[in-house]
Amino acid sequence: MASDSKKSPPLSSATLHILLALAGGDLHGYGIIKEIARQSEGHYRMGPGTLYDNLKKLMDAGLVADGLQSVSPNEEERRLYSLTLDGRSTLSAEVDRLQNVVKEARLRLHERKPRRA
Amino acid sequence: MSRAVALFTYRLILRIHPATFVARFGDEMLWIFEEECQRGAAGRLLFDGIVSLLRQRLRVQEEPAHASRGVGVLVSDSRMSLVRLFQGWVMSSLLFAGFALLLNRGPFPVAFRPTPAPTCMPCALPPLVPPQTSLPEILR
Repeated sequence: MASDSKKSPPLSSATLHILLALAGGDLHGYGIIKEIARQSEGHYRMGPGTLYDNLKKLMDAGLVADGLQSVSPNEEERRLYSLTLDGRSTLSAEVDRLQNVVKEARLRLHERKPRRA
Repeated sequence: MSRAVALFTYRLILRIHPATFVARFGDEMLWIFEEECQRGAAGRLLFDGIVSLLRQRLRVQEEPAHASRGVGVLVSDSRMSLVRLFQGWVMSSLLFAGFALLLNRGPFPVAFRPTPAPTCMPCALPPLVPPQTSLPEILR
């Protein structure tokens, strides 16, 4: 996994949020937006333009797959997006990278204590 | 801005997107826009749509093979040039300015008020009048 994180560049904020939303299960577009808003406690409300621009890139890269499914019997079919195995490993590598960043940041902050005024 | 105007504008923005992108995501984007409009987020979503338009147009320029067809008024073939990019920028700027005017909080002032004419200060002062009193006796 560490080698994966070295190979792939860091994910953008929008990409990371989309992958994170899909990690919990398959969602349609509006479901992804609502899940991102929930995860960020309402601070990040992604627009459809940003969402589908990133989804298209993720699907082209093979990290996300789509398919038509009925959410409930009475409703019309919606396109649901799901994380592929590659997408899951990419997300995992990004989480590892972020963990290293946090670890390094904590180390630095504890090393250098603030000066007294 | 009324919901109907916002929806019409968003449809227009979608129409200018590359055809392949609209065919794949257009209906879903419109559905999300309608849902989010009820929360009063029309301005933010219209701006997001314009940014998306610029992104997709730039991507078409980078990947000409994906731009086989163009529904919009800007692209008629698969080649994109700087001129077309400039056209896209101008069109997006015009759209954005239109939204800003509709929202009454854009780069233009809400209302033009005539500025009052500046007061002529020297005229406001009393005219200089030579002293009427005669010089004191001691100075004569």
